[in-house]
Amino acid sequence: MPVSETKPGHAKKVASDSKGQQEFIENLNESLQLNATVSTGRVHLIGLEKVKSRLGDKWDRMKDKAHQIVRTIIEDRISPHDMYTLYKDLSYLVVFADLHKDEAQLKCSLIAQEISNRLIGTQKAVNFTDISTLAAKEDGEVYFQVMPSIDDLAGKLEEISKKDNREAAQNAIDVPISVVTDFETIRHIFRPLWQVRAKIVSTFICVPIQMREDGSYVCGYDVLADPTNSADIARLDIYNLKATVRELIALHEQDKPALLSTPVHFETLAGLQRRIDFANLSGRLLDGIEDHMVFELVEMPEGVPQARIADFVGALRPHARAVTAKFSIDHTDFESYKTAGLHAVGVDIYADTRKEAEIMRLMDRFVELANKNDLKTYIHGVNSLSLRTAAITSGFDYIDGYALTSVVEKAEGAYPLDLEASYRPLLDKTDFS
Amino acid sequence: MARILIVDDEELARFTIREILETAGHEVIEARNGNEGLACQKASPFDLVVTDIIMPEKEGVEMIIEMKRDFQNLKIIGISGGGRTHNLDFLDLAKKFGAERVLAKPFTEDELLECVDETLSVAN
Repeated sequence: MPVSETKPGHAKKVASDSKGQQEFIENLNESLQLNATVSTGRVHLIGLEKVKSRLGDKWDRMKDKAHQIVRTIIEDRISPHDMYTLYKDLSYLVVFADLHKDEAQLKCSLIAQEISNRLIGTQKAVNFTDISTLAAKEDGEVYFQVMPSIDDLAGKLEEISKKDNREAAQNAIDVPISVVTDFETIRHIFRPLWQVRAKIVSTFICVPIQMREDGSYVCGYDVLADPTNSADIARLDIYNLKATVRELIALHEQDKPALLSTPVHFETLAGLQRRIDFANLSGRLLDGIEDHMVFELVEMPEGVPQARIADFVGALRPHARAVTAKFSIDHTDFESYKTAGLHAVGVDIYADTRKEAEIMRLMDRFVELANKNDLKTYIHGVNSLSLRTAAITSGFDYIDGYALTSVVEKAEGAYPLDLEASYRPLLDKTDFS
Repeated sequence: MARILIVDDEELARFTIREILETAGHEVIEARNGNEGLACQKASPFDLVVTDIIMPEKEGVEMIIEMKRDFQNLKIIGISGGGRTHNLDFLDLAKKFGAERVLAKPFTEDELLECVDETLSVAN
């Protein structure tokens, strides 16, 4: 099954430009012939054509530094068993030793996002880095299938959303169609939380993520076919818990110090029986490693009574080092949570479309009110340097960063990170010129 | 006298600094964030930029890095104090990444003028 060129526009010919690359490609072809499963998505091409085009005349000056940054990002995220090589000046061929296709694609998407962010400097969800996955045709010939870029998908998703809205309106009186979530296709990523004062990353938040047929990703409870179905929500929380525990055990076995946090939906805890079941399961799974676990209460409705929160915390706290809760950034009433046993309260501003000046004002208020009630604070979805600086100076205790597909693969587990790191992408760009 | 650009998202802060510097005989232009500051500097370069650090859209340290990349000889003073914590850390970074001087808020009229004069005299 030799690697070759196929459909124009949808495939990239694999050839070598140097002796080292030739050897790599020969080894790759050999592996493909020996093991058919290798061809089904473990081989990926990460392309920098759009980065080059975006940088224009600067590319020639910048390319050495750009490649150095890309290599650092790839090396930081692949395992020791994986391989990669520069291919034709503008692409990197990455072979994952033992990842399934969707896991490998997810990892490559995160690599692409970080490359775009660090080389182009955009903090928004626009991807300037192409990813192609090795795929096989019916006749056995393999080719690189280009995954849709995030910006292409944005338009596509908008169209789908409009179409869905129209169809929903048309079918409003029809009998609801039964929808089923395929849990097998749900993966997990881990968002590092930077502990600002200690200048260390020691906590990683588990986020469920799923790739849709069109190559786009959804995360959180949107991975559910029906995100309002309370039974599925509880099932997803358990699924997340088990994934987090697997990661924790692996960390524990490798003696890597880190805390992992997993989300627990209000619906999972609201019903007494479900709450007891979840707590019992947590007790069984986390026996001996509870000191490394954090539960994050999410989707809490406004105005949940303090006694109710205290019940939730009381059920989970014996099986974890801490319990935190995520609220809207507009939330102001923390007094009722002061005595409920929460360690920290947090916000997610990723989808907040208000002006930065307004978000910054709300950050200040959120932290001030939480601190008045002896609660620590964390923030997700900070997607610009100005908001990050504002989050730091507002006094948030924890701020999230680039997601990982596995905490265990991060060699250090917990690791130090200073203020200057925020400016590293910008300084990298400055070094170019 | 010098052409000075003030970059600060707080109107009152801009007004106060402007009053002090204009009274001292300088020509002063205002910008509300780093993006506006960069645009002003590119449109008509200044002798000195006095910039806040915590601002929406583009904050001060980011702006300093970008300004120094394109205008190596430009003199910059970083000022901060608007946030709740870590302001001094960011002033240190501002200095590390190119600001000639930094000034923690609140500062007096004399302190500002002394800082501006010293920075400009070094430039000359």
